[in-house]
Amino acid sequence: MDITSGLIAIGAGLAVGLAGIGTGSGQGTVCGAALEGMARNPEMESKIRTNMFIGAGLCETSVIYGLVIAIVLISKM
Amino acid sequence: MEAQNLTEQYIVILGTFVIMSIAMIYFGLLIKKSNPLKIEKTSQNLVEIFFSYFESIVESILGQKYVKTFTPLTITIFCTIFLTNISGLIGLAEGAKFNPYYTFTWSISMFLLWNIYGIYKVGIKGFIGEFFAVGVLMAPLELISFFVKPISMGLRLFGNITAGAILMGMVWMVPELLAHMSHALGIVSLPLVILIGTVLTGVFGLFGPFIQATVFTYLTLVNISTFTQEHE
Repeated sequence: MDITSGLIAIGAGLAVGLAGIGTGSGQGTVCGAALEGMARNPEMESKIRTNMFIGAGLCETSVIYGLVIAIVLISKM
Repeated sequence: MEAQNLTEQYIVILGTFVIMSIAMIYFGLLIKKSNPLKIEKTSQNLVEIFFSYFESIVESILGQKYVKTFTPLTITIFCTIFLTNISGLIGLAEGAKFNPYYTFTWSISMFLLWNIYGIYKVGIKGFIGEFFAVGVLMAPLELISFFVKPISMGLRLFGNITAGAILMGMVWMVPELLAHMSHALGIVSLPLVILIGTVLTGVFGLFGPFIQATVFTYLTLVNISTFTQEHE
């Protein structure tokens, strides 16, 4: 194993890891705001929950890009 | 392409067609039979709840006027993506699992659909005018976001399903890896791994595809709605 594959492994890890920070923060914001909305307006709970899951699914996109980059990098190893 | 690989592709395509035709015949027969004055007891009731749920989604995004036009499309997108992805669990069709061609076929055909609909709706002049709506300086950015939309939709679907599949595969590999260290450890960890793996299969095999199919459907409708909002 030479230094190139080691650098590729570090790059793949960084791609997922750094993207994961942003996604975690974003999903936390989505979930927190949804809980706040549910507490203020309990009769809207089911509608807010549906929209929360969709918002969380949209937030996941950035880490998925990181994952795709990581898969591409690892396949070059 | 190798012969075995091609056979796998044919099985995937055939499985998708089988699932699509079963869903279409089942829902088609039940929706055709629908009578609003009669109270139903059988699976007819379920289908009507399902249908009105999608009608409410289309109504909340596009408005009452477009419910009749876009509800069939919405149900088609949602059912096909969801059913092909969950039928990977029984090995009938793989769907988006390790298969970016599948998701990009979906996203590019939806991209063509909403742009052709937009040209039909606002005319070629209005369609080009969309790029200069904010200002001439913003036109390149608008052009980039125009082409990035289908790529991001395809990658999102592919990445989510594939990530779930990789994670599930890693969990099922744990007893085998532990058995390499010592046989007892592998046997002891088996019940725990089966328990965790079942829960994860539920999350990544059923819940994930449901959320992704919903997100894909919503994004398609939102992109269609950019052309319908100004002309109400």
